[in-house]
Amino acid sequence: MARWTMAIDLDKCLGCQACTVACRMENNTPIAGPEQAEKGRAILWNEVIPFVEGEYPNVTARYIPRPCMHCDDPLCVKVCPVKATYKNEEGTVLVDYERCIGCRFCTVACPYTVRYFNWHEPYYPESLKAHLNPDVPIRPKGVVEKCTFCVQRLQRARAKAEAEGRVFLASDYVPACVQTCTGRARYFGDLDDPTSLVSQLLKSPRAFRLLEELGTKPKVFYLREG
Amino acid sequence: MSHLESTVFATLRKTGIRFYILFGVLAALVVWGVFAYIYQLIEGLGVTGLSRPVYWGIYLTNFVFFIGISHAGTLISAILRVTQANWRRSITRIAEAVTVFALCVGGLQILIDMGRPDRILNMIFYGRYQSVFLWDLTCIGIYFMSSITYLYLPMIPDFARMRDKLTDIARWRKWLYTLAALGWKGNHEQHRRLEIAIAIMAIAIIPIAVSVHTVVSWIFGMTVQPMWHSTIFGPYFVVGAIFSGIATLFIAMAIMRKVLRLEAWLTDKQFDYLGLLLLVMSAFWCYFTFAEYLTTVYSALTHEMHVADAKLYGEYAWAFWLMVFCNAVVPFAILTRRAGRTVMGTVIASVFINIGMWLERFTIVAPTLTRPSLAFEHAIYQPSWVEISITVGSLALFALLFVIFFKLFPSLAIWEVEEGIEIEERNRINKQLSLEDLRAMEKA
Amino acid sequence: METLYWLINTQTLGGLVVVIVFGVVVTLYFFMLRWIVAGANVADDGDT
Repeated sequence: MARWTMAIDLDKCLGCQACTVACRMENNTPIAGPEQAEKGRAILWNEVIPFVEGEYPNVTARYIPRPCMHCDDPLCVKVCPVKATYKNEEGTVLVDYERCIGCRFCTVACPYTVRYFNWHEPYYPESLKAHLNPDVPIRPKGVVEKCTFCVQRLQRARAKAEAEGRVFLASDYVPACVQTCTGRARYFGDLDDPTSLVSQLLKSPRAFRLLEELGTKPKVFYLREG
Repeated sequence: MSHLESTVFATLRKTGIRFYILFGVLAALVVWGVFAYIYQLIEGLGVTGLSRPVYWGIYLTNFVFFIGISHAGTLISAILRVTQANWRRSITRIAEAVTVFALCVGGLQILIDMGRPDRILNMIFYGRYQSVFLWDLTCIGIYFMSSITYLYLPMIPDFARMRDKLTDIARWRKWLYTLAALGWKGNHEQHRRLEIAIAIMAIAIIPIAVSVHTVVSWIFGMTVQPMWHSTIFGPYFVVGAIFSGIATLFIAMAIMRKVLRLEAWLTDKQFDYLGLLLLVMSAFWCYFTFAEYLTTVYSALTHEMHVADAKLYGEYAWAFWLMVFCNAVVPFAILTRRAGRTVMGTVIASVFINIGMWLERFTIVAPTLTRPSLAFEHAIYQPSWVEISITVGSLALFALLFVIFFKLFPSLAIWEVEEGIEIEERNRINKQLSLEDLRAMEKA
Repeated sequence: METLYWLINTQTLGGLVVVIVFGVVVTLYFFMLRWIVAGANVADDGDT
């Protein structure tokens, strides 16, 4: 079994948010509109968060692209009363939209605030409707959703390998944000394979995880700037 | 018919215009709340002021608040029964009713807060016990069933009395009382068994009540969020619950005393003694609050300080300091003096305490969510008209259930109060007799 | 440890616990009430 992991090199990240857009197109996240976005209700599974420090003229701005951390000890899974959110055997944390009761315990328990709630019936402008991804279900009103590491791409890659009669390779599976990244800042692979690029990168002295002290063991790690 | 019985039965016999006005006003507020909820059901939770990351707001505040109020009753009534405080006899019924209705309204808040209330039964079908919500379901469920039983048991002899003596009432009510009396004969053995059952329930309900507010606090305590993740939350919430519970009991007692003319039984003594208890709870609350905030601010961890700053000086400072004023300053100013522990004094203190305790729940739920550990822009939370309407409707529902209940059932445990009067009488005679003995001995 | 985690993490098992606990409590209270009701048929001792 693989353990899917993502690495993000902050030296290479331009803050262009192409990953955010690619994620949205891949995963059919509904459009909130400016008024709702202003209220903090935009659904962006892969948000690029700006950290601005200091005061003019000594200002530094840094960007942290933030997908779901797919923690090995996920706090969201711990608190879910109905097992609507769960960690699958490959370590990816997923949500069962048909079962979620919308109590939002997971959204308040997640220290990374990566989980999003469907405040309204999902809305897509006409121009977008034709381009919805048929592989990803539309989430109903009142349930929680979040980054899945594009699990549909994994399923498709496996099916394709099988149809072609060859062995499935970790490199067959690439999430949309990794594929799109302008600066090639993102890496994706199997942490259980010591020869994989992500396993190698994790050994770098630049490697760190967000809020490591909480003991959630995220499977998304970053490479420090500098 | 004794004075006690005729006073208590008076309200059950005749219904005045005042009742219908009160009923109408409360019902209208409830209907308005239902309307707001239906709107929310159709449109989704987007009609609230909630957002990311403030996923929980005043519905959760109300939930904790009402579950807290529910501790009034049963817990106080149980403690007083176990310690055989004779003055409890006239207030236990009211206290137990507060519990049952507060639990109904409190439980409702969770349903209101859910994104998919239609899937509520998933909690049973797919329930997984690691989630604190399952612990809550277990404890609150047991507490609810126990409180109803504990309310019902002492009512059985009263039901029998109504069945036998209230002849001039509607047929469905006669049928109701007869059914609820369970064929009560009131012979010696039956009384003995009833007393045993009540005694068992009184003892059993104390740990159950404590467990309820402990697991409610653990919804917050078991997360890793700044200023939620605190070991003190269990006892802190229990103390706060009893505190706000007694305050609510005071308000209910004062209103019923006036409206139902129960002055002879809900006397200054009850208000004085319970007032002292309220003061003690206020002291406990102050101690816990002080301990909690000093520990946080002294060690000053980064993420915790973001939240503490918001509460102490930031946009939640008004709520925090108003809470301190309501829960600490007002009770101490009024209740420390004997002259303050009157009906008027305790009711004023109680109104402040209820406001203060609601704010306490609010300042626990909201500020933490506006300052997530992974610091990005601070969120703001402003409840919408829908949330406020549902909150007002919930309060009205609580009052309405209360009003209907005491329109149909006696406001005091008649047989228990009678028993208390008998005991007092006997004590008085005994004292007199012993005095006479003394005098006789002196003469001899 | 493994078994313990299985117990608390398995879906439906938690619901079952709730149902059983509720069932036991309701049954207990039911029998308590029946016991009180049955007291009506017990003849009083002479001393009352």
